[in-house]
Amino acid sequence: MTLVTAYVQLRKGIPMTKTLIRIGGLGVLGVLLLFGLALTHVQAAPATQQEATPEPIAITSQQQCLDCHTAPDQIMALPSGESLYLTIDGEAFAGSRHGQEAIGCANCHSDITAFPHEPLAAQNLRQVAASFSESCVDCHEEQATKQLDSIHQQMRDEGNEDAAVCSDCHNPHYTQLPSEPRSKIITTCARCHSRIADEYRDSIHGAALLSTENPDVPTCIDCHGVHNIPDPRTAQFLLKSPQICADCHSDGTRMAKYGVNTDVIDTYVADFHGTTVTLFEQQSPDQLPNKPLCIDCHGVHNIKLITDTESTVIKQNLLATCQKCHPEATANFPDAWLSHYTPSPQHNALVYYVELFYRFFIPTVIGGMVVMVAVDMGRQLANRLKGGKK
Amino acid sequence: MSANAYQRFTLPQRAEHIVMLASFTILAVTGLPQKFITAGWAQTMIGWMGGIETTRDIHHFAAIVLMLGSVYHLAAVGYRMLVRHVRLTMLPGLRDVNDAIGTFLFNLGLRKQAPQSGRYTYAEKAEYWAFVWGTVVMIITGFMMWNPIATSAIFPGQFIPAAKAAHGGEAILAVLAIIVWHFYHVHLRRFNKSMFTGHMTEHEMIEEHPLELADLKAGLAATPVDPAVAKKRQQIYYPVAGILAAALLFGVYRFVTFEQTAIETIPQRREQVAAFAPLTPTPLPTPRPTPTSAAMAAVWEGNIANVLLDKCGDCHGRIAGLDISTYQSAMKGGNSGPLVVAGDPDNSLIIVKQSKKHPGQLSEEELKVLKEWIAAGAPEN
Repeated sequence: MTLVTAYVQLRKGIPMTKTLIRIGGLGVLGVLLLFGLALTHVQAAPATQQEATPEPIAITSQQQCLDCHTAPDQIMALPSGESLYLTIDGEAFAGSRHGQEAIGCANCHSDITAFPHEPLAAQNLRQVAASFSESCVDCHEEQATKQLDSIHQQMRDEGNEDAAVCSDCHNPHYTQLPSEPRSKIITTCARCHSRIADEYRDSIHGAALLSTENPDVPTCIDCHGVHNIPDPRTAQFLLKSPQICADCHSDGTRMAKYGVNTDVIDTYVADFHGTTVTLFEQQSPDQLPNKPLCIDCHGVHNIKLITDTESTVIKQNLLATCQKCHPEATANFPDAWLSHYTPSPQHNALVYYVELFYRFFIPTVIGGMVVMVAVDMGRQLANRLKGGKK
Repeated sequence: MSANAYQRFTLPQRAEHIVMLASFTILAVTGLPQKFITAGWAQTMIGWMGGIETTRDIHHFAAIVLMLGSVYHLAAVGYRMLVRHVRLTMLPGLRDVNDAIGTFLFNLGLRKQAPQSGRYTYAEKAEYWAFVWGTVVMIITGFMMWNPIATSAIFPGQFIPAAKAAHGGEAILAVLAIIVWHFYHVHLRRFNKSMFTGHMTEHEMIEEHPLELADLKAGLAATPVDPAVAKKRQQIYYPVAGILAAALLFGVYRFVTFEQTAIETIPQRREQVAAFAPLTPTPLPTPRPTPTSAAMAAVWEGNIANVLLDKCGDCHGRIAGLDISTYQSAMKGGNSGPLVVAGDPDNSLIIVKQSKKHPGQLSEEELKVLKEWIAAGAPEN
């Protein structure tokens, strides 16, 4: 038995010191016996070694792959301790976009050419996923190139292996469009952004999408984009964000169905906050806005209908929303904001009448001055024409 | 001052004018683009001035200068009225209405004689009082916009946007009035330099302020005060005016520092929930349990059979003609021949294959037991 162990250790490259000590301890008779046995073994060894390096079996057809990989529950342990699931549903694969287009295993798994396979270089599941991204570029260059500008790629470049790669959103074996129906987009993003997705599902937008597949409400990608998803924390994105809201909210046709005010962006820009943000966007796009954006009052993913009692902008909650930035604000303070209404006798009457007053007062005063100046100029001119005589 | 010149404005009055002129101009240049913020020209101007925040800072600074100038003006007017008992030549009256109508009719040729003015013409009085009115409106509405929290603690919140509307309306009124009224009367019609030089010639006085000239000549314009009386008045005026001025200056200070409405950064903009919160992945099926090496015995049932099924069964059963699912099929072997040579582990195909690189590698311990089993003749039971 000792010999077998020694041999195995030899083959495995394990230092033999310990074994040799044990062997030494067996005594002369033992040594002789071992010598004899070893001789036999050494004679047998070359034969075994020749057989130990057989030609690997070349993989020439997809069927060879599926022969093994359609077996259920094939799991391979990765060095990280994670399990890599190796079973493929052959029928589902055949029905996928890739399967239909005759894109086979070898198109992506180009590193596997023979059986037994070369060992995986990837240490964990994330590295396995990332290792295939380059295969996608071959066919999907446009998307792959756009993706280079995304926050996901940026995070990966910073060493964050969790950031999404192609296959995280697009399962390569069962590829169907990840955006049909639209509600599927939420599920796709939720795989990594589950907390945000939960908030979204509770929002007015999410509720409408998930209950009726409403085509008018935004999903994740309508605001964030698809492959070149920008970092939503940058000044550029934040400053641009009111325009993202406005794209839908100033669209009369779309808003008419729900009776939603389409003046929201104009009234926002007309106000102190919106004015500042607009100018920041144009003149200092790298500076984080120090005035509220749409999202700062209305919320982002958890945005509620303005009549919802949980809305951050419903009358009874508005003061608390103002106090986020103006902690000393009191009950009257929220009325300083015109609630997206253009002043009229019904809404913000005081502002309306002040504006109305100046609309008459300015022309009256200035008009009076112009008349007085005009007749004086006429007189002066007449005097000069008469040769300066009075 | 030449012999036939008459002093019209003292040096402090002329300095006051320069300060007001400068602050008014800066307020207009920084304020109007804010009023017409959506216009291209307005945005261009704000860009030149260093952005919206800087433009607002400049506007606020000029407003402070204007307010300090206004406090000084009140103190100076108070001194002239209460200590020197000067004639209240700037007070408007019915006469000014008549003068305005008279001037209008004269210019149209409907009246033979132009009205004759005293120290200040009706046009000058109109401008002065318009400036006073405008400054008061601008200071009050400016305070409301500068201190909206304090304002809304007392007044309805709507006062703040109303103040903004009034501030903007008043600004347009003021700027247009300066351009139409002031520029015409003192620059275009005749460049009246007296606000800079301080004096007017006799000819100019006859032309524009004949009644004042008459008063000056008659010695009625000057109101000499007995030094002793003046001293007595000063002793009352200085402390009272000092306290009032201090109160007003404190008011200006509070105006500027009352509250810090504008904040540097928006708090809580960051997502309230974690951006990265992966869903718990669907649990993978648990691999079939294999007997632990220690417990494994060199028997087929429940031991060798389970190991082979677990390590080899994923592929074999479908490939290489080998099916290890039963003892019989396993013993039959596959395309490469029988799996096992009973009693001869080293020549058994399974041992040969497993001794080199092959998927589903058996552990050392499993290999050992397998060899034992083969050596024992690979029995089913």
